[in-house]
Amino acid sequence: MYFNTNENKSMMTTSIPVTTKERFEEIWQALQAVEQLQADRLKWGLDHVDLYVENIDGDWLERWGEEDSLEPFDLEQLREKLPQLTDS
Amino acid sequence: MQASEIEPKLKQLSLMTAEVEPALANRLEEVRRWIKDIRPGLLTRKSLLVGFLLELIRDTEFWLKLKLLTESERQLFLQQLPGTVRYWYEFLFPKWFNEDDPRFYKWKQKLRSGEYVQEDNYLIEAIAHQVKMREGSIVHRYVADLSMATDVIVSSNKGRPLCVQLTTMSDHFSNDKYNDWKDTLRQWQIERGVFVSYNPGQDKFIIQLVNVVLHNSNHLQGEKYLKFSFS
Repeated sequence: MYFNTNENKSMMTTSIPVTTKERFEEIWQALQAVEQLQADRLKWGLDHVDLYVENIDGDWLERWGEEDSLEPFDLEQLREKLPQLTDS
Repeated sequence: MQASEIEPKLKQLSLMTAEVEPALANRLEEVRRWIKDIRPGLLTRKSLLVGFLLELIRDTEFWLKLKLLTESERQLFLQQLPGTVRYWYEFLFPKWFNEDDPRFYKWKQKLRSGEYVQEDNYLIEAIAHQVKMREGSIVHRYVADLSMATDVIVSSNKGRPLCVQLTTMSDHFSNDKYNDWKDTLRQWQIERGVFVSYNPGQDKFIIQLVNVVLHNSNHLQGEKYLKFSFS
């Protein structure tokens, strides 16, 4: 159930709680965050998102997934080039 | 948070959950991928999508913290939680990301088109307020609403969680809706539920409705799905 402290994970999590007290503090905070979101949603309806997120009308949706296309594209290019390289 | 930070956040959470909860990581990736297919011009209400994503992010963050606890810490912690919150995190939320969700494709479209309108928001807020005053608890989630035909999960102080669905009385398909609702609850192995039809514009019934729900939270047996009308 614990995170392995491999490179990937330690980059992702800023710090891994070591003591019971720290773990409890963190989970209570996470619970409060969820409860607050629910309370705001109930109170303000859809407008509650403006309390949490800025620039909703920006181009973030247009740019969603932009980075995904880079990798397969490069791989595809690489594959196309490979036979030529081996042929020559 | 900037809107542009939502996708990196989802990606990050998906990586963090990959080892501890692969099914959740997959569900997050699935959500992230279908958002890519949305043509932004066709999205009528971005705030609806953002609301859902915010909730998913918060729930996942909580879930990760829960996974960090040792088994005995987790039991101790869960015992402190209100029944509805426990039911959500111990049963319904993991069920949602571990199982195929046949409604997922339907509600994706609803979020996309903005067809999903929360006309009963004021009602849910009023119910939540009443339940809280009487020391009960509620859980209100997009996933429960869209996948599990549950507008709100309610529990009295000493009772057990009950899934509540609200529908307007003017709906001529109320009976079909009731049957669909029952099937959906059974499919998710939700044992007890209350289906309420109400007359919009009248809000005097809220106290009565809360009485009925709290009573059934205490007394309704398993495999029971009740229907009530308030006018």
